[in-house]
Amino acid sequence: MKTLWKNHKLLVIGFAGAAIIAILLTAHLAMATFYWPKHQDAELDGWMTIRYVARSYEVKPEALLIAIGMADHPPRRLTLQKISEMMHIPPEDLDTLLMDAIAQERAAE
Amino acid sequence: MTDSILALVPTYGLPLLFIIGVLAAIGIPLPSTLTIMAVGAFVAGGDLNLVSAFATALIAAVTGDQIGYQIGLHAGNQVEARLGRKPSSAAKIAQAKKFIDKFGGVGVFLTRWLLAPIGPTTNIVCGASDMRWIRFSLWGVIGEITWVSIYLSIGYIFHGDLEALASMLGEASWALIAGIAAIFLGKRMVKVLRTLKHEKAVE
Repeated sequence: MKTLWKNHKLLVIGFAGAAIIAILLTAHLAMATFYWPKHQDAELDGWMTIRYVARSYEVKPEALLIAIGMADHPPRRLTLQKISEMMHIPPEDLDTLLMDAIAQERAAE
Repeated sequence: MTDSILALVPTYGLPLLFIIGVLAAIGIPLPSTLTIMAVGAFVAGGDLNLVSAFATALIAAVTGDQIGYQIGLHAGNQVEARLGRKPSSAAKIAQAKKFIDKFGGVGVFLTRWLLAPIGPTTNIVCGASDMRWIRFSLWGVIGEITWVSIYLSIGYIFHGDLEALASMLGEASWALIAGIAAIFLGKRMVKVLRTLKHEKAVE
């Protein structure tokens, strides 16, 4: 072992480093998988579209469109950020509107 | 930065997906996996079209791979011309080439999707070690089809926190890469130990 360390330092360091990283990442992944179900709902984010949010929260997109008053002219490929700019409301207010609509839809189901 | 890139996908659609795909395959650190998954979700929601999204992502990834290979090919020839003058370096280069020749095909395939984080480096190494272009390209295309199919499907099927899922999958890839490296280096260590033991016994 001593000779191995003396003549092949890089090999030993490389092995130890790779092994440690593999073990740490696997442990972290196992923890993340274990706690996964509690955090399943994604927080609303500016890049999401209405249809994306509807899918993510498993509610009908129409319900969300009605909530933001865009049921007649559904915005295609518009992000939440763009919608809040169009509606002249802060992003947080749009999020609240949508979350209320999602909660109502879920309660109705 | 991830959020602002994702925000551009619904707005600019497929041309942007193409640019991200090419740059990521060359090795620019962009969240390509998450982007593909988000595209899958946008397709599922009806914001993007499946066939054109699939084709765009695939062509982008293959294009980026080819650019990486060409960079490796040209840089490799120059490096080899310089280093190859020394016999010891020339022997090492020959050894590396033999290794690529043996595992290169499967290596290219697996580094497209399962070990994706080291994909861009692999492209350059394959080019630099003169891996046959047709072999690199065939395995590369099959690998990229696998990659796009898997991540588009995950985005299409999955409901929930895509960002968290993408970072978990990335971590799993790195864990695998580190694990494979540990096994490979561990084997080398055992081999060296055996040789040392043998030498001692002879003495």
